[in-house]
Amino acid sequence: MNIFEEYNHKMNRRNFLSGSVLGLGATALSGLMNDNNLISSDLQLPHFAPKAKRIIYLFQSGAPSQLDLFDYKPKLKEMFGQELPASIRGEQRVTGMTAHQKSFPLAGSKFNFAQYGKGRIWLSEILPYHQQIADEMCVIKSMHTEAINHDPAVTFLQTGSQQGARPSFGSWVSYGLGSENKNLPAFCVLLSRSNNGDQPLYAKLWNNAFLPSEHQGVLFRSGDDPILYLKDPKGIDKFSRRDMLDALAKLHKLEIEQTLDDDLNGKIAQYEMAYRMQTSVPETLDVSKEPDWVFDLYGKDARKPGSYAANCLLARKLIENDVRFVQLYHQGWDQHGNLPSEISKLAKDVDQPSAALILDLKQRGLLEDTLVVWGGEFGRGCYSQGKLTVDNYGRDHHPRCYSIWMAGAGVKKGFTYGETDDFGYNIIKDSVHIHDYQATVMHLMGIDHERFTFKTQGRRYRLTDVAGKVVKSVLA
Amino acid sequence: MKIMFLTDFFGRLHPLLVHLPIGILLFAFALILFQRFQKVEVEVAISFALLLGSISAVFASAAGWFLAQSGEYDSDLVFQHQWMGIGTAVFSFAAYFIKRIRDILTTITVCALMVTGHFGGNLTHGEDYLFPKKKSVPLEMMPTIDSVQQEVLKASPAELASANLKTSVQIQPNTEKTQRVKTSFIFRDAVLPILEKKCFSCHSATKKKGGLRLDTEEFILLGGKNGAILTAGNPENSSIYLSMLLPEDDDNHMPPKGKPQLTPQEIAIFHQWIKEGASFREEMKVFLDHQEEKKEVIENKPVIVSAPKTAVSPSFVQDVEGSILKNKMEAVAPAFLNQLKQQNIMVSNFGTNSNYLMVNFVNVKDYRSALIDEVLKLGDKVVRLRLSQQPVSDSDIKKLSALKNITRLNLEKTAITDLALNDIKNLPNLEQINLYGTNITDNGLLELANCAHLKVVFLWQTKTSAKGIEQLKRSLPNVQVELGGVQFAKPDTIKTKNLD
Repeated sequence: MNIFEEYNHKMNRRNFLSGSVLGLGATALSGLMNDNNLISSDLQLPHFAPKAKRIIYLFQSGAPSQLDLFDYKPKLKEMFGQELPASIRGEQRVTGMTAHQKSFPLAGSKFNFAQYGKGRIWLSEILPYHQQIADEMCVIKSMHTEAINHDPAVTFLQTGSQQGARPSFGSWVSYGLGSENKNLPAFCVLLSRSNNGDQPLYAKLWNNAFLPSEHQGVLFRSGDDPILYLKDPKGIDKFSRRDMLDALAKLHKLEIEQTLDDDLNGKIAQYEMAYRMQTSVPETLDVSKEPDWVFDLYGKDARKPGSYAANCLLARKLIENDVRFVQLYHQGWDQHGNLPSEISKLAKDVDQPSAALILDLKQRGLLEDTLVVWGGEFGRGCYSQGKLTVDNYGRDHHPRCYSIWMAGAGVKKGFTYGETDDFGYNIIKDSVHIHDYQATVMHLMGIDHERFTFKTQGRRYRLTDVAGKVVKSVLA
Repeated sequence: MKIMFLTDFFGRLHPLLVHLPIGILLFAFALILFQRFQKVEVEVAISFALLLGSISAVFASAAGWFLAQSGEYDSDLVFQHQWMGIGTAVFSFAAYFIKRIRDILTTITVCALMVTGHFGGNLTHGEDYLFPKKKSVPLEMMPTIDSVQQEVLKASPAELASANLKTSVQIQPNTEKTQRVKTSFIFRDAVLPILEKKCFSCHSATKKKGGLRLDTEEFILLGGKNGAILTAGNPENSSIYLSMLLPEDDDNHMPPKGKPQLTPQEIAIFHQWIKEGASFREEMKVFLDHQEEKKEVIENKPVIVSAPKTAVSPSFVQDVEGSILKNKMEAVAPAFLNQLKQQNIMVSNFGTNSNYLMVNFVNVKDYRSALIDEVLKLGDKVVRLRLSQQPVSDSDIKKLSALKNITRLNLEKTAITDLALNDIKNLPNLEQINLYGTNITDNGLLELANCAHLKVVFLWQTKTSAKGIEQLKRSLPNVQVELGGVQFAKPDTIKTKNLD
């Protein structure tokens, strides 16, 4: 028999597996055990002194038009109705909604702009309350993303991947830093919307994916029952609920001994958290004792449960109780048509409450270690979608550049970063990719995004995937 | 421009591509041996391997040629490597086409391949990588400059003069006293070994990253693409020193992340050397015996200067917390941390390598003075303390004066009065204090004037007055007072458009 055949015979799959499993197994086991050590020591977060201990993320879902809010482009007004130069547009894709358009007429913003604060921050007239927080704002005008449609873009921003099935930003932070307040979840989610029929949001956006399940975002609903099924059912009192949970935990522990299933530890933790939340949540979310001036500050909508203003107020109350990550979503910014009137309405929804939140955190001393982020998933284009008239136009999705702002712990105050060209179409200076932005926020929380990983399915994952660079220029 | 970029990029693929011919040609050679000794016919496989190997060798050579254009490599070494590499490619093609003497040609190819590989290794890792040369003086032997000094006893003035003194030292004639000469050759004995060990791999004859060579005096003085790197006498103005101090993940940090880093001791040597004039020669100092020789001890810690890039605020405010966190602190016993956790006192640290702590009472439901006593056991480890909304009394605050390292203290909505501030002034490092929602008055505020490092005071919903705050600001001009009570003024709608 020649050597090749002999080798082939020896190396068939079955022989290989049976022959090598014992030898390799021992090596693998020792490797695995070291690995676990590594992971547990890795988790002594933060990696370095954090600037921000808490985050409020004011997510503006649907993609607000940067050209009508922050990124002032007089050139677009000057060239109103003229064709977008091909040299600017390049060969980048546009969505199916405008790809068929024969003409791309430039649409300057209908709104007036002016500069405010010591940092001369540009603000549109539809954000009048923002004028008063201009000295706290750090505006990034050069954000860009890879996705061109809402769901992949929001998923990308929240999880670092367009496809989903990865943990949300808040879940990562909860997993890494845990909760300061043991009676409230580390990652809280609040939803509000402007109209019915807006772009939908899904629970996958605040999902823990492969991280232990107690790091999932907890959605607080508006109304009497902020968290479904948290209350004891009729006829069950506190004591029998306690007994039930104790007995259940015992059963779970028996099962853990048998199967080593770590998810069950997560379950026990969640039941306990839910039990504590039965008192802590109604206490924290109760706004009935808030004085009138608070509602004057956040706007009269703050009395309407489920509104953005009410959620901003709740965000402040959660942060006051040391919740790690509060995620708000305000839906309705997707203005493909009738943009001027629609965006005025949305701006009115968020303008005063966002500004009020900053000022309220500031007077309580919370802005010193809380980071607030305001922004959407991508930007909107500089040419009109649909018919352009003197005071009406629409804007299609535009992932190549958009603006967000941050305020609070660790970021520069009254500062603008990044520049777009005269058409607001391409970035010409200091671009910030989604992964860069995520790396920067992680950095502010004292986390090195490259070292913060979770191993599952044979590889290590991180929020920033394999990219991301901390934008040091925005750090205070 | 675009072509330049492409060729640069292709050139950088060289380290990747070279492994293809190495693997494939060696495999062809192995097949030839296999055929000869096992007496089997694998001629087709050999031909195929040789063809593939020669093509990949051509690509590797081409990429190498582009890489050499960057000019970062020593031209002599590149010359040898380049022609051996091209030779390898030529011989491998020959072996493919001339079947008659294929065995011989392949053997030559493989030899050429080995030599090329060796030269290539020398180029990237330095010539003494494979067989390190013996260093004349090992670095460990010279931790301080003091160890490289000689004493010349009773040297006559003439002798000293003949020693070609650089430093002019007045030597009094007719003196009976002993004179001592201290010579130090700090560059040769202390600086050069560090450069050799940690910098030469990228900045010397073989490789000149950033156009910078550090292997001779002339090149060090010349600097790199970004100009001079050394300002004699002024380390804070010398980029060679500053680049060592930058945080490791800064792009300008040297040596780059992942390469062997300089120890604080080594950085201190650079600091010392530049500060003393960055001399490349042997220096002598003459001391008269009665003159106390000033001991030069190299501090273990490098001097921290703020990196010039990040300097933003015009008036420099000292970061007290930052400097506290830099000091060493022993870790707290895990058992004790657990004990605190049982009492709902939340403790978190300032990072993986820091043993300083932030203490938070947010989970405490049954506050009592005894809990403060527990925190006191942590001593100087406590840097931030958050007692918000707890019924903290003035006598509890009195105890806190033992926690000298507190920089941030949260006392908002507690039961403290002016009396407490009397004790707070004993916290020397306090930078922020939150007093909103307490019964503090102007009298208490006056006490805060003693906290020299105070930067922010939160005074919303207190009984203080504008007059008191003004007084505080007079003694602490840099302090920022947050008064809160914000209500929106009627917003400026620019050209008054009603949006309703």
